[in-house]
Order: sequence, then structure tokens, then C-alpha cells
Amino acid sequence: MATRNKRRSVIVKKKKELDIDITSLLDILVILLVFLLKSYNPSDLKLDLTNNLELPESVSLLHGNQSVTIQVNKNRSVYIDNKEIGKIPKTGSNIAFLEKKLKEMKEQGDKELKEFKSRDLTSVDKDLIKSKERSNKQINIVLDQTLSYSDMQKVMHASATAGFPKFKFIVKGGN
Amino acid sequence: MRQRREKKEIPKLNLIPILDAVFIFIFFLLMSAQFVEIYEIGSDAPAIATIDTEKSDEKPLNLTLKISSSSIEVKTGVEGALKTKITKLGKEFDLSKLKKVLIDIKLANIDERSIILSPSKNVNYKEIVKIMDSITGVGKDIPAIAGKSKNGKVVRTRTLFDQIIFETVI
Repeated sequence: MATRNKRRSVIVKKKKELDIDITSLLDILVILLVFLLKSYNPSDLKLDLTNNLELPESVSLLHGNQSVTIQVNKNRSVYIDNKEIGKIPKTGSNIAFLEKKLKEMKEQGDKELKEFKSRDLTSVDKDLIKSKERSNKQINIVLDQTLSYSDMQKVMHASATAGFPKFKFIVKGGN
Repeated sequence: MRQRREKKEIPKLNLIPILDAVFIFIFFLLMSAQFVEIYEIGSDAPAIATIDTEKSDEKPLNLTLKISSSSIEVKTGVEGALKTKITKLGKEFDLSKLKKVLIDIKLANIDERSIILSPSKNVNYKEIVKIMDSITGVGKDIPAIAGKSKNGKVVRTRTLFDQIIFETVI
């Protein structure tokens, strides 16, 4: 009799489930979800701003696209895809080093596009080619808000002569 | 006889699949989250700007803004006839006045989308962005404008001149 009772108590103990209260965890997750949904950005443009660069505010709501990105900070240092390549000279109407670098990038982009086109294409690839062709002509220009038009003009001039005639000025969303 | 009260068991929801989905969603959002809201303003180099090649007797609008550090001159036509001059109100340009002038021009030329900017070298980039903002759309406060297009159709739009061309690029 005593052994039977013991066995029964063991069985009862096994049946008890561990019950964790996850209500607070769910609360946190919901708050996080709302916060992240609010800051969701459908644009494929990922921008890592360099030091000493403050974007001007704008009411524009157009999302950017990934392509070659030039950044010029307060000290007039020029960065291409986050690598410093030189400084804008105070005199002269063009930036030779920027133009040279952009021409190299343009040639590389054209070469990649040509290789891609030579393959057997599906309808998905054709869409990709279209977006690549578009991004091959456009350039994202990220300038510090304190710079003058003379610097802006030099950057645009170098970009246009290197084969990037579609300028996209990257700005900060204002409220 | 006293009846035994049966304890009502509250049915437990199985939250595990929902939690899984929420976790995946959070990771996806975290990867695509950008905490600085960035947008773009487009502009074309003058050499490749699209120009309406249809031959017509109408004179081109050729809307040009000549921007200096103290004023904005609104010019139209091939000869560049001065339409209005907008000065600064304190430290900033009177952009609401500029917008009104541009709305009037847009109402008369509803099909037109191009505008030429010609800033002087010392104009600040921040000011240029503000000007570009006020010339591209009518803004939140003003309702959509309507006008008759060249085809005779009534066009309603909130866009003013969104094809910006910088005159002195090349």
C-alpha cells in the first residue's frame, strides 16, 4: 500500500507543467515592434555618414536608391563609398581626382552591366538590368549643409563629366 | 445535497507560433531600420535634360531662378524677362511669396515641369535645399491646383516644378 502511494505521488509530480508568465515579454515585443515599424524604411539606400557632416533638412519624401555615393563634409574632404579620396581645392572649377575616380567606377559599372547582359536572361534579370542601368547613371550626393554652391557645382561638374548625369541630393527628413 | 462545484479551467492559448513570427518580424525590421530618415531630391545635368521636342508656335516658358545671397529673381522666356524679385525677410528668403508666384506660373502652364536654378557661388547649400523644397510642390497647407493642359483636359496636381536643372553645372 505504501509503495503504491509513493508511485502515485511521483506520477502527480511529473504531470505538473512549468508555467512561465510571458505577458511582460509580450508587452516589450509589441512596443519594439511598433517602434521598428515606425522607423521602417523601404529604400535600399544604406548611408553611413562620415564625421563632420550634417545633412540639410527637407520636406522631400522620395526614397533614395543604392548607387555610387559621394560625401563631402564641413572640411571639404571628399569620400566615395566611405573612403576618403581627397579635399576640394579652393581654386579651380573642377576636381580632377574625383572625376578620375568616378570615371573608373563608371567604366567598371558599364563592364559589369555588359557581362550581365551577355548571359541568358529571365524576366527577373531584365528588371535587374533596368535598375542597374538606372543606378549606373545616377549618383548620390551627400553634402554638408554649410557648404557653398561653388563646392556643390564642382562636385556636380565632376560627376556629370564622368558619366553620372542624374544627381540625387541626399537630405534629412524634416518634421 | 450540496453539489460539487466544478472548477472551470481557463483554456490556455498557444502563443509559441505567434511569438516565433513576432521574433522573425523584429529581426527583419531591425535589419532594415534606419534611424536617420533620409530622402532625396533629384536633379539632372543640363546636357541630358529632357526637352519637349514637339514643334509648336508657343514660346518656351524657360522658367529660371537667379539666386544670389540677397535675392531670388524669377525670370521667364528666352530673353529672361524679370517676373518678380524676392528678397530676404530677416535672414531667410520669403519662400511663401516665391511659392505663390510659382503657383501662378504653374496655373498658366500646367504641363510645364522644368525649372532652371542659377545660384551664385556664395549661396549656401542649406538655402538651395530650402528653395528646391518650395519649388517642387505646393505644400501641405495648400490644396491641389487645377488648370487646363495643352490638350484641353483639366489637370489637378500638387507638383509644381520637379525637374530641377542647375544652369552652371557644365
